[in-house]
Amino acid sequence: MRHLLAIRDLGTEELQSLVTRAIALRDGAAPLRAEGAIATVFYENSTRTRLSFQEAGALLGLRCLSIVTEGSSIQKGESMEDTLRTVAALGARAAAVRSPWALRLQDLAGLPIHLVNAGDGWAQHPTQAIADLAVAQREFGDLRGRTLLIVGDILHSRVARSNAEAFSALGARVLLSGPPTLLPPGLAEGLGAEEVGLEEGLRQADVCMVLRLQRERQERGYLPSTAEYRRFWGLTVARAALLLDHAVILHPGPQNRDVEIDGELVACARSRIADQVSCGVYGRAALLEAMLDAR
Amino acid sequence: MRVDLRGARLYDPVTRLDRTQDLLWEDGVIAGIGAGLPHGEQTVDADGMLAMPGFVDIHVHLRDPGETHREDLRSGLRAALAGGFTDVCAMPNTQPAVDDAIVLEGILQRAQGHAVGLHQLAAITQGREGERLAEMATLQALGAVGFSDDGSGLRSAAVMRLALQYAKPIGAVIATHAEDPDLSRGGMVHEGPVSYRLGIPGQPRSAETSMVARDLELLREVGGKLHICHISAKETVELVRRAKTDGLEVTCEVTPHHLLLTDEDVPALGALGKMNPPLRTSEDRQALREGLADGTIDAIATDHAPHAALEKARGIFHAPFGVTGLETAVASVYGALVETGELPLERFVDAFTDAARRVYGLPAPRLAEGARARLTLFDPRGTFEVRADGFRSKSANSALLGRTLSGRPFGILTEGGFEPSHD
Repeated sequence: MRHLLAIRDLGTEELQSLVTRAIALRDGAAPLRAEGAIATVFYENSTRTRLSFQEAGALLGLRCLSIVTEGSSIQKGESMEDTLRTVAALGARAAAVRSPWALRLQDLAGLPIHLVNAGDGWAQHPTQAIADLAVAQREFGDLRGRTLLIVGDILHSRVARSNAEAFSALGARVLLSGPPTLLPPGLAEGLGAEEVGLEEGLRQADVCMVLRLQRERQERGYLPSTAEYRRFWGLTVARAALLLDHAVILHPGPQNRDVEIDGELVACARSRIADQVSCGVYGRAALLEAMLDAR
Repeated sequence: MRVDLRGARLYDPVTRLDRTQDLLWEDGVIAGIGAGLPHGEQTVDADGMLAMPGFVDIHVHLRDPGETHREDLRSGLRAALAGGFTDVCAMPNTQPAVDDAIVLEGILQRAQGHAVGLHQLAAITQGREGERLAEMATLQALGAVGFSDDGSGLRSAAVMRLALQYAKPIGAVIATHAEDPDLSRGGMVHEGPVSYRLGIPGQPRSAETSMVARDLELLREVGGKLHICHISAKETVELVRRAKTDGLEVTCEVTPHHLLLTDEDVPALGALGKMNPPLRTSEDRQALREGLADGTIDAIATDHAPHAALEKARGIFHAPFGVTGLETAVASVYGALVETGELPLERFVDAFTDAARRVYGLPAPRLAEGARARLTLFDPRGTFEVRADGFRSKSANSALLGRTLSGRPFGILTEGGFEPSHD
């Protein structure tokens, strides 16, 4: 595999084999070994994604070069292309790149380094989707006939886009629910999913994925207030009671407790939020194995 | 000095001329049309070519003064020649903007002596800031053919109303870039299923249509002449159609890229699919084609917007809006719409000649004995591949790179003589 820029770039079998390998690693299989180094190049803040790439690299025996905007030559105006050429020259074989700019990496596909999209604006976050599929398949096995509900700010969510594509690819039905300014008409159609009222969706979901609500959305006028958001779109304890008995709750993090999700649900019995973080490491390890021909 | 043009199909829909005959050019004038004409000092073998009244591109950005790393007058007019145009109308969003006499006179002086005629628009407002009117009467007296703050929308309805009022008694045309900057803010492509799927911020169609509706109501109230640049949405076609039925003095134009491409092409085009207004849906494209065919849309104009390769290579987020068009417009529309039978040749020619000139009240050249010569020669059977290294423009940011176009500009015959489009 040359790059992983979007879920749609993966064939269904390729996607499934990454998920299968992630589950195996999660459940104790020994990681393969690879030589050299990877790089994490982050133009946005991150805890989970950046650390899990570093951890995944460490599992394979790879060194990790870590670049964040603050304190790097990016502050001097170095272009993404030149930064990636630099980390390649420093020995990195693959770079996980996060930026606010959709499709930026597509233009850089000719660089002499494997590129992994670690989140690009609103567009894609494919390794998060691999992790989330691993969580869901550990829970339910085959996802055909299962239902994923994604709740919240779909418009600005790379997690929603990647997961809608990924779960659909493996046969699940995808429902979307959110306030009309953040789930405008045509958006569900564009993602190959169905729009649904929140309570109706909760009654059908096997996997309920709650998205982070960025404070900026309120500032930009998409929402009157976070209080109103919680009242109508938050996964409260009362709403969670509508879920099927076996349904699980996911959240890509970081959570705004008592805004999009009630604090006491974050670590409740239904929550698989911690498992998402673990599977995040193993999903990225599975990807690096495939990408770097680990043995 | 005499030039004889041999074997071209002489086509002028206005005078109903359509015959394959020779044409004799003498000292800037069409001295004869017919058979057995005498030879001149120069003979142009134009067998199989279409010879038509000179084509005009009424919407180009020549970046001069101020951004001459993208284009300058010389390269821009050479690009126009390569595209088969005898005339262009340049937009005033240069650095500084064409909002005073010195800038306007400088451009017009430097453009003299080129085979392709340059007509210059001036800004509606000082510095294109959308607040205080530029010296429109002075600028018009010095040669400005129209007024536009193109490049951005005029946010204030009150300023637009004042501009129409002020322009009306002097007969000046206000050309509007219809975009509500609040609605379009941050949008890089058309807002719709494609932008939703890709996760790229979109511009809703209402960013254009609400401004068109506003400006038409202002026109209805205060009168004057309004031209709507580069329309892109199907609702805009309908608004203009209705306004024309109501008798308002409104014209509009469409770009080749909006006639040829849709937002489905954006993923493959990347930054070369980023233009303002954005490529919209296939329904919009169809409505634009129908509006062009029935005359609701008066003119085809390129919105030729050269950008340096480095600027367009920054990715779709950071790349500036716009694509070049001068060198591909005639052939690309001919191949896609005329050759396929979708657009009659007569309307195609009209949209590049008489209808386009009427927008800014430019005198229309005729293909007739005794007329001042101003002809476009086009090879309908030629083909060429659009290649980055094949442009006369300083910039190669074409959305049609890699395509093979059918039809090829051959040259122009103006008062100065024959100029081939290609070496």
